[in-house]
Amino acid sequence: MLEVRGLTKIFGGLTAVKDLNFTLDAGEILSIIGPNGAGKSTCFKLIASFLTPTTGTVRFNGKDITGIGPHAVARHGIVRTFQENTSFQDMTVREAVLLGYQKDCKASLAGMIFRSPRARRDEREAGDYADHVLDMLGMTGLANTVSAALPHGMLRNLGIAVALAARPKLILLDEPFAGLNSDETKRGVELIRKIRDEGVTPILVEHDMTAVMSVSERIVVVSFGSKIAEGTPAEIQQNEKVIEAYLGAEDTEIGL
Amino acid sequence: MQKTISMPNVNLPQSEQRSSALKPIGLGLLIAAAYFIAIPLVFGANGYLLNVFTTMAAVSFISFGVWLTFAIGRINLAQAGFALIGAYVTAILVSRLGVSFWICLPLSGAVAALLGGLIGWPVLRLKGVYFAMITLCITEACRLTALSFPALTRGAQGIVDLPLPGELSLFGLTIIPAFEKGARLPFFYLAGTLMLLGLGFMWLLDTSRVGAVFRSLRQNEDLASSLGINVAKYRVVAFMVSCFYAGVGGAFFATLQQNVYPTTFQVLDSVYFMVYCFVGGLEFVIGPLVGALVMMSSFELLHEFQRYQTVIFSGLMILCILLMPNGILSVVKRSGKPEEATNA
Repeated sequence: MLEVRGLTKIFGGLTAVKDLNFTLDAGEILSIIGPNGAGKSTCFKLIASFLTPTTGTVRFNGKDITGIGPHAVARHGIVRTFQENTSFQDMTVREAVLLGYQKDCKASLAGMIFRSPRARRDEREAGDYADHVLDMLGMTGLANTVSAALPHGMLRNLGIAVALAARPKLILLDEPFAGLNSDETKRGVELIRKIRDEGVTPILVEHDMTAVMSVSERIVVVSFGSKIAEGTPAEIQQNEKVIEAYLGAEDTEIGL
Repeated sequence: MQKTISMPNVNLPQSEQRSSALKPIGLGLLIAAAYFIAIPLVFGANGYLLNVFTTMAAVSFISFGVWLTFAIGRINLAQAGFALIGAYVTAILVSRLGVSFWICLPLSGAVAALLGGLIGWPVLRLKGVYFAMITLCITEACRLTALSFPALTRGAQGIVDLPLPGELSLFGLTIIPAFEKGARLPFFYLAGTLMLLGLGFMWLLDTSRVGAVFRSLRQNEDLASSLGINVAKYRVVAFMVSCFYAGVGGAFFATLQQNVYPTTFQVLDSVYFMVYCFVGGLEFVIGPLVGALVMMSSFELLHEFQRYQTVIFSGLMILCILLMPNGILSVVKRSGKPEEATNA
């Protein structure tokens, strides 16, 4: 489904990502982990075309999508979430999720402004889908709450809801568990499985080892921009290189 | 009552959506009745005041465009520049080629929009103070361009003695009779019509999905683009609509004054268009209209203070911004029902 080949990004004298290769099959939960500054988020930005790689290609379902621009990548079916609690502050939860449906709206600009039948059908479909997504995330009760007023955990969920409303095939989750308490994290892990069961393939960049080990089916470990290991959670936990380069003395932490 | 204008009615069920659309329409009718019936009845004999209202209506029409660029999160100081372009398009076509004013009016808007699209495409990548500065330069560049091509624009002499709008007829049927010399009411009605059409279109746009996309650009362009929204396209569209308003407004003023000079629209006018939006309130489509009404009428009311007029006016403006940083209409919203945020 996703094929990353020789991905390299150089910022001035700094090589943020170096010759990164990995592939992903539909329906597989993949996590990318690594110490701070390892190039994980840069890797996401390269896939989602927020950055153009220095060399290397990203192929999605056989099509080359390297550097075609974020909105074009989204239209191919890859949507990312953001590390920070990024949202449309002034919008209500439902408005934000409705907006997420944008890429599937078929009405023309004038049609939208003058409420053509096509635009009204788009709005109905967007509304139905938004309700479905909110229901799936258990946010129906918050539909009319302004985003800025949401608590941290719910804001994180809203980010995922908005991304899901765009009906992606592949969703890139940038640190979905950062700052969540263990209860919220548990629900987050459930949510990611649910997303996968809906037919959306998730990729995670994450620091919360407990969550990563429990949710991932495969893990790619990145250090200083290069891939140093790849495998199942069990394999990664045993991997000498990972323990040495990434976890150092704190190897007890990867145990569940 | 105005608060219904910006209510996000997209998220209401169908039936509620329809009823919430009634209030803005009612408000629109109220404005129309006040403008077209009440003002001529009360002030009809006072030519000077009619002129003030005409100017106010046309100025708020131009300011709607600035409001729209605020909606996508850009401080637009180029509006006077594009108004000047519109004014010159009409002046040149009417005086040299004898084209009808009624064709020139929309055409001026179209030319301004086209130029706005060409200039806006690269320039709109900038944000915040950088965008404000470059648009300020655009306004100045338009003035200098008008000065430097006397063959076309007659330079500093300006294009004077423009004819009044002629008859507008369709299939031999007179829709609008020719404007008479010295008559103020035709321009008054024309300005009001423009204002209402402009307001109506802005309202339609703001409450549609396009309006939601524009608001999303103001709040987070990266997030918007990650959802498949072509950010560059939408912001150029917003800027072009804004320039269209400027062009049409400029054409109107050129014809009202029957002349155009490079100084007809300057940086100061751009600032005023922006201030009307601020004073009225950026959250509301009707903000520029309220801002222009309040500011222009208070300026006129302070007339008896003679030379202190400007000082008192500026003082009031500062107070206004200090006490109501989100515009006059924010007070209306605050006193209305509590915000949705309290649900959380």
